[in-house]
Amino acid sequence: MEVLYLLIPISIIVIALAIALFTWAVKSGQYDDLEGPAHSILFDDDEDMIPDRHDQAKPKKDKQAENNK
Amino acid sequence: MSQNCYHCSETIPNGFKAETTLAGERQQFCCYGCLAIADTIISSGLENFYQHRTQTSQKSEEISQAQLDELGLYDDKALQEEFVESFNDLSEASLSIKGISCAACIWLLEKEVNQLSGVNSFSINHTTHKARLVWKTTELKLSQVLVSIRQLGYKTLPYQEDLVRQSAKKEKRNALLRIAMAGIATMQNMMFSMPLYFGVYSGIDSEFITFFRWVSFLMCTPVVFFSAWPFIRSSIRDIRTLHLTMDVPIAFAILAAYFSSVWITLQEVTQIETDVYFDSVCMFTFFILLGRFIEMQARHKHLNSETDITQLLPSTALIRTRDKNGGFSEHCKPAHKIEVGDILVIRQGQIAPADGIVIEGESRVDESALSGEFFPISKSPGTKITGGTANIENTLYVETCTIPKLSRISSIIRLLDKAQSEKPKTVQIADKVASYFILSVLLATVIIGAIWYFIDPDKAFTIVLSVLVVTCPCALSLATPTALTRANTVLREKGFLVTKSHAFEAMTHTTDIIFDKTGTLTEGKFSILKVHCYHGLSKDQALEIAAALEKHSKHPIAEAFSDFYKVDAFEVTTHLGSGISGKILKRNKTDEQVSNKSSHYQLGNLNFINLPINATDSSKDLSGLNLYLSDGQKILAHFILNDTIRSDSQQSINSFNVLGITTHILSGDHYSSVERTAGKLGIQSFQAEQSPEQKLEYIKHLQAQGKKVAMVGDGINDLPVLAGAAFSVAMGEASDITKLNSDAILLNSHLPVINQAFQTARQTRKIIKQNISWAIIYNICMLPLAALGLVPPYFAVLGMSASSLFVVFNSLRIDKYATR
Repeated sequence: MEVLYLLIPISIIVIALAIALFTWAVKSGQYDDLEGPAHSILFDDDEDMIPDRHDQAKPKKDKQAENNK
Repeated sequence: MSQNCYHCSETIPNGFKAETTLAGERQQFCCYGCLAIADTIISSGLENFYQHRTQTSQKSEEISQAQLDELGLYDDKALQEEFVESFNDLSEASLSIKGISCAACIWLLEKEVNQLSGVNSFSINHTTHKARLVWKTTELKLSQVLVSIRQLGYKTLPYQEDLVRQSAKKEKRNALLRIAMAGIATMQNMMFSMPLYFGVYSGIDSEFITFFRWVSFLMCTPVVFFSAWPFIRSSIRDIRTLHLTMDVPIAFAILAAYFSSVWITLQEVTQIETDVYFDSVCMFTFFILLGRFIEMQARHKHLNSETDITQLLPSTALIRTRDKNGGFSEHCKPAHKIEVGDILVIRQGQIAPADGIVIEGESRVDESALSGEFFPISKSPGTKITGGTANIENTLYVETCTIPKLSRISSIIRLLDKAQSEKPKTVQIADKVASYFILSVLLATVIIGAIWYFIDPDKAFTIVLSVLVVTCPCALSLATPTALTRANTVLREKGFLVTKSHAFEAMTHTTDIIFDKTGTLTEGKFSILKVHCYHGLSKDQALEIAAALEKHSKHPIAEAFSDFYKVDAFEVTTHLGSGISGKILKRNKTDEQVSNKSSHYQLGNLNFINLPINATDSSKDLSGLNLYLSDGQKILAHFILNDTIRSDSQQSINSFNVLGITTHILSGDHYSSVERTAGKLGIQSFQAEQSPEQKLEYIKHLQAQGKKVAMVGDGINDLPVLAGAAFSVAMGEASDITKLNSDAILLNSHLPVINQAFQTARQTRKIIKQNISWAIIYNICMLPLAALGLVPPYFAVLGMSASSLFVVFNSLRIDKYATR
């Protein structure tokens, strides 16, 4: 059981790192907007990033629009 | 056939056709402005906006050349100084965006602006609506970005980081760090204390007991001195001022449990039964911080709109100067650079940027925001104009007598600060009870400890500890917050948003409630009270003709007719200050077909019509605004307009009478119109023609008589009173600064909801009393048992949790049905 004397200090170091990381994230303003990210995943603005699907109808249309641009 | 605009959901006027293809379907619009916005959105490939939005968009206004000039002013380096930072060829601006109603708006704006060439990045914060724009100054002008935002129907203002917002941001960041610290430490400490708990049953080496205690101590110390610091700090303050609040038991429980555990650790008591409470300390702190954070988030939500009074004034001004030839020239200037003696040009529909004296021009000015006076006030050379009031008729030339920062509107804000500092404090019942309770628990613990020290010094410490655990004010500290949270949720569903925590307590004590008139008891806008028709004209026809003419007017009166708009008038001329005239195609009565004949109509006041009043219309009704419609030979109709009382005002006043709360009206409007409103609603005490100072005096007078006063209002002129009253409600249409300074906001303008809020407050108080009684009775029953050493630690913990659960479920009994 003596290994605990090694493992537990290591776990405390890991926690200290996690807290330091979180402090940095908060101070750099990453948590200033807590509502936005919840909404942004709902916007389907990533259609061009989705790999080709089997239903050909829609992607084709999108590609045409791309070409027109 | 009533079709609504696809963009703003307003009714599309008859015969108006503006449409575009969207997602394969033809969509109709109410005006070319909305069509233009939709076209902009579609051509940018952003039509998803219409699926994502949760609220309809603002109706568009077409951008005039004057507005473009105004936006162009933001390219001025001097004006940019305050909100733009430059690095090489990159600039960063902080903008405050108005008109954002949901997340889709933000998505649309971000997409649109990021498409502009020269924009490096553009992002908007969902809570504060603050936008950060980084752009290349060599490729793009700031005004171009502002115009493109404006074209989408949103308005921008330079973002000003004032002290309130700065401290809010800091408070939030700190709170997040504290919660994270407590949360992480809680999880970790749970793990470390598992061996200690299970060690009781399965046996554990004593060296490990000491080791785990030390590790827990290490994890718990930052929680106590960092996460729980706000509680400790404020309880030190409370003890100094001898006013004990809920923070005292919280801080006391945390510190007592912590230091007793530290003591056990130091003593190296190897009996496993003497427990350490490091994990409980962390978890307790974590949950309390979490609750406070949620409360804080709700409070900060109202900071997103401007808190700075200078933003109520326009940011630019048109100045007239004399050029070399002796003629006049006009140019734009940032408002903060206005100097005393500048000649301001205030056109129709514009807001005066500073106080001044009219030197040229005659017009009428809408001062309702400042004085509550509903009818526009006539201004002629020599009269004073106040910054923040809107000119509604002719162009005025005004010589400034103070700079904007010293204007009347700013002095009201100073009055507000004063009123706020003198606001009567409502002591929460829980605080009062808690302070006695804590005091007695502390005394009891000391006495019990002393007695046991004489009986059996070895047992003294464990007994003292179990007394403290049993009497842990956990249920007591939950008694009020859970009930308030529940009451808040119930009321929010009804459209009543409580923003300050003392509100519920203040509501239950209220003896007098004061209403503002304009915009609170009344609609705050002109509506048609009565129509007299002559010469065989029907009421509908008269309204239709009037509406067609008024469509071309910007006067506030015109809005009253907008519901009746059907046909279009042409060759319309507005005669400023008196009336409007124009031609309308004549309709054939029988088959509703439009013939080519048109007739000329005039609509205006009696001087404008210049015809004798019909004999039948002997009673010239003075109770409002009189408008006459004529065809040049005879008067066809007589409209009486006034501000109407809200349909549910009467119901609300009646219920207050039933509750035994005295109602008052306090208004800046004329005596006659206040008297009429008070008479109709059956309100005995009313005061008219009151300045903000007098209003504040009035409630101070009531408060001096020992009355607890609540106030409902909406205007800037109500601000000091709202701040000075023990409890205040702002109407949903009120300006942002008014909302921010009141204790609650009535979102939907249904006055009876306020009555329901008062009932819910009474119910909440009852529940809080029950909760507190329960918590205290439980503790009092357990205290002697613990003092005798009969309560094992696990039972103390179980009992505490059960008692807390009881409080939570009791609070859930506050519900919306009970308020019916």
